[in-house]
Amino acid sequence: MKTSAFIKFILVTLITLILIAYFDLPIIVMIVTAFKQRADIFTPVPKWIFTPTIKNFVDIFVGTTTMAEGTLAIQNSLFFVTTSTVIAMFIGSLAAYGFSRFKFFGREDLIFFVLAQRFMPGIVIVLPMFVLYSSVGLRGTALGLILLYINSALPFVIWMMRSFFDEIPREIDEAARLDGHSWFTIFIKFVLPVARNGFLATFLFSFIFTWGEFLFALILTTPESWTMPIAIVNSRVSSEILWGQIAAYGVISIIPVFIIAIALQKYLVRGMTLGAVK
Amino acid sequence: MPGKSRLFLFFSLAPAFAFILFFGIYPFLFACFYSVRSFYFGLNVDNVFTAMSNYHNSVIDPLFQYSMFVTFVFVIVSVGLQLLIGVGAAILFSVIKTKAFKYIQVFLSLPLMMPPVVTGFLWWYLFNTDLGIVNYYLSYFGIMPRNVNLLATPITALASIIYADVWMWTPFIMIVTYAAIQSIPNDVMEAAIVDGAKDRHLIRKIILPRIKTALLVVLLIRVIDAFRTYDLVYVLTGGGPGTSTQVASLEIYNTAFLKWFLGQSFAQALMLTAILILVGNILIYLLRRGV
Repeated sequence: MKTSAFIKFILVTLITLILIAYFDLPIIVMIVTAFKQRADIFTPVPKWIFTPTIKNFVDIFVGTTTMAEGTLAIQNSLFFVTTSTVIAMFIGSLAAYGFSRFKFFGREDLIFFVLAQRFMPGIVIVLPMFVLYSSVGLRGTALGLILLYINSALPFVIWMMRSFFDEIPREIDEAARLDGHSWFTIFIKFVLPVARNGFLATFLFSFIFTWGEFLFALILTTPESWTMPIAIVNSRVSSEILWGQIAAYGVISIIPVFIIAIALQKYLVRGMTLGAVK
Repeated sequence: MPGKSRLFLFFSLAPAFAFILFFGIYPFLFACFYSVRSFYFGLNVDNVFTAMSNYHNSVIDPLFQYSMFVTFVFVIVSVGLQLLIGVGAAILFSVIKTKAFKYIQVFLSLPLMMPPVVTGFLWWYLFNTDLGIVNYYLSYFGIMPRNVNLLATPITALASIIYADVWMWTPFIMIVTYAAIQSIPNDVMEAAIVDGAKDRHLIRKIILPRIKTALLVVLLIRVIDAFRTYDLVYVLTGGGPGTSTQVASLEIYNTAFLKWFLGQSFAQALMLTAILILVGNILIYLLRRGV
């Protein structure tokens, strides 16, 4: 091995190790903590070797004297996020298809108007909705939160799906038109299947974003409709900070997201930039 | 456009815009309307037109001024550091020509996939004086004494929030920038190297001009999301100690749910929106012009 190649090898290894340690060590600490007994957490010197336990996870599913059980919050999160994402995918893809295939007056302005919704501060949306929901009895209901989640997912879905549709040749649509198919049939039967990878990627990204949503849920949910982030925050207000249980909550909440993230590596850049960078 | 196509176009856009109208435009107009009234929620106070006094009282309120100041500091320092480290690492990996980044990308992407609340708790734990590893290892290597509570003094609390935010979002900038550099055609890079371009020139003349668009997109997303930051600060410091890390969103939240003065909180939220619209429009203008 030549000297320069050797130096390069050392340099690359060093930088990679530093980066991985910097970004992943905190997560590893959390996962480790989730499997620690109380006595192993409350030590002045961090303990790296200990007897692992799953008690913290059991506590979340059955509850303890100081902490309500978290099963309901996990169910709520799964239900709210899945429902809203599925609906947003359908409505958003349809609109994205319209934006992608038809030229009309003000199209560009309209699509940037959609983008602007993504950048609206959440607090501007949620305070008026809090007042409205309070007066019509939607506060603390699944429906109220799901509707808001659909709306906040839409700009992302529209921009992502438009960028995927734009890559599909229009010849597919034109050929199908000549065969006498309606636009809706073309969208469902011809274009959407071609864009299925993009559709799946968009769905999963949307899922991740909504899964971690905090502000809307904080203001609009009641204990019966708490989502996971809210349940995590509220497990802090007891007499003692339940580090082990909080860490276990964290681990449960990152499991689906990390599995999705690994599956999404190919679309990562696209998803994080609303389809603007490929 | 034939009639049937026009009809389909209408029905394809209608559901999405119905949502945006009702959950985007309606709350916005609602906020505008009640931001000029003495609107308290659930309290027995006359709800009357007060012109611009909510705005005026917010602007002269030291707490609100300070929250804006903290927000700006947070946005500038945090996003600045993320850009510096993220773009720096991406360029480094490209210039030393290694495929290593592809293999570690999945590990780097984990922080930005985590729910922000979990990230907040994680760092709250790591910064804990008695149990956290940050204090333990900093004192172990003699950088600072063990018993310093980083979240209890204004400067270190803000620094801790920024540190957690940088941890969370630097991978985003790194990954996008790296992808943008990789999309530069190989022959362009090769030609420059054959012409004897040094790394410095390669970066300045070839790489940076070609990743401008990607950088602007990233900047747009990061700056605006940083201005709206709520969850991380809520969990990590709750705006404390005192009100020293009270970012704008938290201040607005407190006006609404501690004072129940929704009229004033609308005024504050709309001023924050105005700043975002201004910043966003500058960046979008640059983007649409193609820089």
